[in-house]
Amino acid sequence: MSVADWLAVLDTVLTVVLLLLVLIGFVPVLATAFQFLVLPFHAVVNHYRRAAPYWPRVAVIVPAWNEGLVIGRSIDRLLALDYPEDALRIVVVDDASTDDTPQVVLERAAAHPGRVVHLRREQGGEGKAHTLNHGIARVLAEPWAEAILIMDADVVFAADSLRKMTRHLADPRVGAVTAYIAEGSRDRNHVTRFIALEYIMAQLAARRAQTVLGAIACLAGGAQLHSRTNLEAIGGRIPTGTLAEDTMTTFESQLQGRRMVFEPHAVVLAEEPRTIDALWRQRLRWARGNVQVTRHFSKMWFRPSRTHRLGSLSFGLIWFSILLLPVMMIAASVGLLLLLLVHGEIADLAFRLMWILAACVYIFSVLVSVQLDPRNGARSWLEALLFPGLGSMLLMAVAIFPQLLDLIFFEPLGIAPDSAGRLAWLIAAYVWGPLSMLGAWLVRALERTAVGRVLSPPLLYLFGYGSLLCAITVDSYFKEWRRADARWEKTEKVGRVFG
Amino acid sequence: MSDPTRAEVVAGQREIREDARREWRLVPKALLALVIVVAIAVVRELLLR
Repeated sequence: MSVADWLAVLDTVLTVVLLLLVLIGFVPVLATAFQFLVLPFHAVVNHYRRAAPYWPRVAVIVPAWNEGLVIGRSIDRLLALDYPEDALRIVVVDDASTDDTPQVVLERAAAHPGRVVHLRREQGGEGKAHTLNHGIARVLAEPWAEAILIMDADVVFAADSLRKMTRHLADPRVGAVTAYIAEGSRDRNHVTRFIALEYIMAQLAARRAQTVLGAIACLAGGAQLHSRTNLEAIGGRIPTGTLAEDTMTTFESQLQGRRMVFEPHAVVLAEEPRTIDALWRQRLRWARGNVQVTRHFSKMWFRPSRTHRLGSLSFGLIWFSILLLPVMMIAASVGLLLLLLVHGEIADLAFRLMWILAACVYIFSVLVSVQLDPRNGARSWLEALLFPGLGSMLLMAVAIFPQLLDLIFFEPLGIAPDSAGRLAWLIAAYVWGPLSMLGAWLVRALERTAVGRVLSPPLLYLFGYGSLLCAITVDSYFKEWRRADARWEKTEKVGRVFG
Repeated sequence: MSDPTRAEVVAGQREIREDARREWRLVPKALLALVIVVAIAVVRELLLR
């Protein structure tokens, strides 16, 4: 072969490698499309056929550290649940609170003897899992409880929610049940409205899809109902080695061969962070927990098993497309940039295909999601429209209508087709994914300043909530890599769900 | 605990059937979303022609 032939082969190989890099960026988009296409099959593949009216004796374990503002009303709401009185006990595990939590709980305990129990830990601060284990040990020491509900101190259960959850435990194959945790603050802001939409997508849509596929990623720690048998089978305690204790119990229960059920019609309201900084700290804990869980179960991934579906290809695809989303976005951007150097026309085609696909999946998933919870969907309509960010929306529009950019930008400004201005635009567009993550990081930093507090909402809409979550995931990689302090940090709750 | 009454069991069974039926609404919801995406694609093709 001549030198020219070798160069041609090298060029082809390089182009294919770069295209593969770009294709990595398609993976999370395809994973999302897959989940939303699978979702309607929940009409057939669900657990209702095996559910039956069932009212087991339930011990509710409420971990509480300085929850004086919310704990009283939480207990009152639990006492008002539409559930047999003699089959419900509330055990509040007071994690050495320094506010009026003990007094509030003791008042309720005195008013409802035997139904409300106050358990005090004199040395607290070890984290939620340790606090829960203190209560679980006490509950399991007696034969009374047939099921254990683990919840957060601030969440509000709809009156029928527990009843709707326990009916699935009538099937002995079911180990645990979770509910739909909806953002429930009465005075929402831009952050909580984004979270409300995210919860619709991540729970009402994704968890139904996961049910169809046979493996659930996480039973929400705010409403996790375990059968006693299941909790005892996983050691009678919540794993304390990670920051994602709810995901750990979900995985361990499924590894034992027990089924996890998501009950979309059992609604639990929760108060979520109102600032980007508070959200960042909460999600960093979750994201680090997910990295730890991935490592902990490293031998499980993509290894099909007869006892569980966690090792299936579909579940692995869903899990890693979220965990590695920032890496995939960066890989696609690098691929596009290098392709631009060698084959600009192929880079342009790949870019347009990627963003057209992203637009189709985004429109489809958002349209489905807002219908799943129309009330919350309507309240978060702007956030639904701008979930990927204004920047990404523009890229989608340009990918779908290539002439748009000439019409509204290049021609009015007199930017010629082969000019440096066009090249700068192309580079910015190709690296928008990583750029928007950087922008989200900047939004968090800005929020701490007076001017930034005004600017951060519009900037969040520009860079997108998805980019913010990706930036947090990147932060979690670094924190885990550096083995930074993995202290459990509580999200502050002040009772906004109650109004 | 006291055993549930017959009426409570019947009401519970009805509730399960209703919730199971509500899950069938996922199908038209997904179809509607799909139709809108296809409609946007058709409009795009018409505009670009």
